[in-house]
Amino acid sequence: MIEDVKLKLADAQLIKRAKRGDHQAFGVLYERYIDAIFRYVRCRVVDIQTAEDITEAVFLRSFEAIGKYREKGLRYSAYLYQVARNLLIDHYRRGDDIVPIENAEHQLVSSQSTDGEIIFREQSASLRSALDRLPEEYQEIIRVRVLLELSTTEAAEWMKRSEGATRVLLHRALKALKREVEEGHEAGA
Amino acid sequence: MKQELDLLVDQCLSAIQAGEETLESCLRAHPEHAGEIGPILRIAAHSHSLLSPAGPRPEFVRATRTRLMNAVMESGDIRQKARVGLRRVRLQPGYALVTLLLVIVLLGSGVGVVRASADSLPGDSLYGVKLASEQIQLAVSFSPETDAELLVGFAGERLVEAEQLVNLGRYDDLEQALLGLGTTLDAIATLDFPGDESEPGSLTHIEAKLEKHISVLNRVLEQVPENAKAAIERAIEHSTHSTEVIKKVKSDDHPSNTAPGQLKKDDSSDDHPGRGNGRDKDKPEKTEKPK
Repeated sequence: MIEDVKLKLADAQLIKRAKRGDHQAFGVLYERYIDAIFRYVRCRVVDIQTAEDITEAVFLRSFEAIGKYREKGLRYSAYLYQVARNLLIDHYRRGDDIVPIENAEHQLVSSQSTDGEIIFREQSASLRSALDRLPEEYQEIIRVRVLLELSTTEAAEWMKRSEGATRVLLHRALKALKREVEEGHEAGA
Repeated sequence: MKQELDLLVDQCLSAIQAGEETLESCLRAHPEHAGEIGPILRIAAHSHSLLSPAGPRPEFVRATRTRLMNAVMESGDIRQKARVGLRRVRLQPGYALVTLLLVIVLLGSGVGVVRASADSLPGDSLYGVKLASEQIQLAVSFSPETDAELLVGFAGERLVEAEQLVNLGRYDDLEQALLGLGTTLDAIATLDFPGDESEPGSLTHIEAKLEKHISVLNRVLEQVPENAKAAIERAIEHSTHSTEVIKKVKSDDHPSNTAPGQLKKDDSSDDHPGRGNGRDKDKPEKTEKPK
């Protein structure tokens, strides 16, 4: 808990410095959250270059708007996450650049051996398909809490929920995913 | 009961993610709930192993950082703020008073502290005094030439600190010195450079100093362990980019969209200004899976 408070204070102080034009503060915020934001975007965008472009746009927009940012005691990553979500919504709205899911999965397994690649690709495609059939909020909690391994506290901040509600949502989402996977197997059998 | 299971799933998942527990040890610790939480935790582990994305490419992280810093400065807002920040101390009465008080303190018992702080390193208790005294020197400088000379000197000081930290094996504090170097280089890029190339703060002078800095950083790079190399490489890239900026300012070119390791982009053939990411323009259209 003390570490969390320190982290929040540190973000708040960095934002104050960034608002005063301190480039180092921008750099620290970027280094601190680039990994989480890129990985979140990458969860939702299979093409690496598109994910990189969107990630860069997230930070660019956020930094350019830092003067309007209002500190609410949350991590700056929660704000970056909202910007990322908005950019992803815009991106999907445009509806271009569609790739078949088989090709999409292929991009994720280029380092696997051929046999392993096939198995990995099939399992990934099946699981991703099951995940995609879940309600959006279930998908989202699985992305941030399971795939990105955010803490419950940070996941709650990102999703604007209490920690208790986040736990409930996670439990329900994983149960629903398990059910979808089982039904997918039965349908394929 | 339901809340208890929610909490248990969350706690087990956290412990597994932190490497404190395995799935099996969690189930052994809660045998009464193993039948219910076991499948849930297995699907979570399965999802993570199959779908968890890798982190960003290091070269993307570095290039984007540089582009973002340039873009933020280019936006004018931050650039203006940076300049105002540099001058504010002498323009605003409140800051002038603080500066005066600091000068009085420094002339009194504070002189010894400031002198003692001159040899301090990032992580030392007096390091803040050292940085504050540098800011005061900038505040009482009255010309861009002096600003440039001071900033180049401070950049050199950050390098000396980096070398000393490496010699002392204090790699945890290295990042702070290198971040300070980056900030100082950014500040140099915002200056109005003197026209007289014979002046100490001239572009030629700064360019020569930066090239010397890069060779120092390369020397430091050879001495540090693997886990500290990334920070040094970033500093080298930053210094190299600053040198390119200086060269381009000298040739009246506009440097802000050129990131380290990248070709200067051709505005006439790119639909996304400011995004010179060095990618192959001839590659096929990007594709992706719909979410």
